[in-house]
Amino acid sequence: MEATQIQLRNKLATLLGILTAIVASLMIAVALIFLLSEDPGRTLYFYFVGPFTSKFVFFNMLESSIPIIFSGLGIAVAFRSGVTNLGGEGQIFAGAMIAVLIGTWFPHLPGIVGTAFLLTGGLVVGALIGSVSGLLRMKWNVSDLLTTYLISSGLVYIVNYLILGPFRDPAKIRIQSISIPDSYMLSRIASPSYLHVGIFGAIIAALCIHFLMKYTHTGYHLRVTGSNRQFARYGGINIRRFYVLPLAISGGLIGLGGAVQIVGRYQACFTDLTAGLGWAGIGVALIARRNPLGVLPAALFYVYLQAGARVAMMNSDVTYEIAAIITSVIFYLITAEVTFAFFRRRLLK
Amino acid sequence: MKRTMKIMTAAFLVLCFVATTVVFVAGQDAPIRIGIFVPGRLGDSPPYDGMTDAVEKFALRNDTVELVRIFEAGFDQALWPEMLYTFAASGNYDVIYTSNEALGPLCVEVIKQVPDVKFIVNDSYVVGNDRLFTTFFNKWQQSYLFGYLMGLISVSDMENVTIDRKIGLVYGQHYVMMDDLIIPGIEAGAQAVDPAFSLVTAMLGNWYDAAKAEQLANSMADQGVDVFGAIAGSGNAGVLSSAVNKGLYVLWYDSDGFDKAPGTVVCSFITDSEAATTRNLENLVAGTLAWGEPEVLGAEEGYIYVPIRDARYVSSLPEDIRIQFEERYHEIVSGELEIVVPQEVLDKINAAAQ
Repeated sequence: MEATQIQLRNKLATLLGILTAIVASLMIAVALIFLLSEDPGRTLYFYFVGPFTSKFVFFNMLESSIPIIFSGLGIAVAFRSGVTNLGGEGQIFAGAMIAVLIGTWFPHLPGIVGTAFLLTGGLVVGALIGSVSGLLRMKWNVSDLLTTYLISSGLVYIVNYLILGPFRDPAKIRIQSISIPDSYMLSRIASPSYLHVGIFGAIIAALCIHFLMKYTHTGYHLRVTGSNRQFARYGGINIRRFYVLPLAISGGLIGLGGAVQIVGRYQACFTDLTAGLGWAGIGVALIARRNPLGVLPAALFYVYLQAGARVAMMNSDVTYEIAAIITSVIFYLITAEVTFAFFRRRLLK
Repeated sequence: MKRTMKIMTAAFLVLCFVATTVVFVAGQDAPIRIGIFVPGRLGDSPPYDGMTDAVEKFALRNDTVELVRIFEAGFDQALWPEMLYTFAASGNYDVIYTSNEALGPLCVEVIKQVPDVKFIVNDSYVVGNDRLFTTFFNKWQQSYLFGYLMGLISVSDMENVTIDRKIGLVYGQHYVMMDDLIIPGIEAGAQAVDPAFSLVTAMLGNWYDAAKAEQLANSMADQGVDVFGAIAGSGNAGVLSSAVNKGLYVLWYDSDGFDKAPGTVVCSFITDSEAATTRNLENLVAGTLAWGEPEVLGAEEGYIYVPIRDARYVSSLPEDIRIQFEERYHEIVSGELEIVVPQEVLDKINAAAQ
């Protein structure tokens, strides 16, 4: 078999694997709904059609994909480069908080400059946090899997403390930090929904990362190092450098996602504002098979399931627990390797 | 031609009459569709549990009300506005019942965008919106009594009490009611026993981490705290565990907690949100609910009470403590000692909605 043919068949196997997993998981979800709901017809309708029945819900669903695209991209870069970033939760929360802090420390900048400054702050802070784990791995061979997770866990507590303590806005009834100026907020696209122009930023970020990974020298090094570190070393690549760089890019993207949450939607930081978004990024990156462009549909699929669960909870007898079970089952199946392996075996025989 | 016109006009009038009657009769029979929006989760949350139980029972007893859905929105406050809007705009509800001081202002926001739906909110205070009714409980009064009994226990001869004049409170998070009513209220109550009392507080940072709550309570006990209050949702279990292990005492806030740890939980201070919710629903059905005019309910009206006839209370506390406490309790219930919610706190909550 020729190399191009193998490549094509490999891609076909991946595509078929994803489709089969999606169909199988949706079938199981339907079976679960029939089992757990007293009015399965209504529940099915709201679970799968609900997100498209109202413009408000639909546009909010698109909006909620924005931070997940950023965190998914960050995780995809890390996985593709052979490092592990389990610190998305802390990185995205720190990115959001630093955007709030910069916004309140520099409240009089021209709107667009201020917005760019806040976003840069999120990106830099995320990158710095990621780099720490990379440096620890490079210098002392400390597992990045552990350090990314542990640093992130600590950061979540610190940011929550800042929101509840020194940076809390006492004038607000809900528990939240002080707010950034209105002029730093991104424009809304479809009011009264929360969808904002950050969605284009997320798409552009995915294209940029795709370009970086596929068409640049650095991207090539990242991919080779990620595929086989020893091979990369024999090929003359300074592999020690490729502990820090991918984690910095990964953390930076995730931190940027946090900052976008602030300038796009919330204007202030709430306790546990970004809880779950870091983990969601891992799920999305796995569905996307670590492909930056694949992160876009994967994130949309993820938020579609979330929105469907929420609409079903509001309109049928589905409880929070049932919705969580259904979503988890779908995710387990989609991220499972078995379907991909099956098609690869068949097509590459 | 004329005749045909007359017949058509008559037929048209008859049709109009029939349609109006049908609409009128159908409108009369249609129950009020209620949705419950829980800004958190049910279980271990007395205000939400009480509200939900009351609406469920009321809907079972009355054909005039239909409980369409209970929606648990979770703890992420940032998502509440979107969820409340989606819930209200679904068209499934005539009235949405909810609870939490932050929900009053959020309902006002939603009212601006969603026509027709009305809101009833417990634990909030908003004036002047004709589609919103709020009920606020006198937490200042409840907390004062709570602190007063903590003080009495701490200066008593009960086992394991210290000489330190320190009482403790583990709470979930900061919010207006906690910062401006509950904490200062407990402190004022204890200091009414002895001005030397200080309230040691620790914030859990969430409403579920029982292990961390236990650590916090242990560290308080090491500082000399001998009586605890716990307002931390599922985290309360950690405080209980610490108190049981160390032989100290816990007072229960908002619901009946005697059976959680007999002998350790020595008294419960109950906010009867279930009764208040039932009364609001009765007024809603009767058409007498005073929309836009919030009410404040306390011990005088019977919505905050201590079960002083309960055998578990009687057997948990020595007689001298009970006598002193009940004297103060009766002074408050009878109105002889007035403990009212400071107007600036009510204004603060109301201002957030304007």
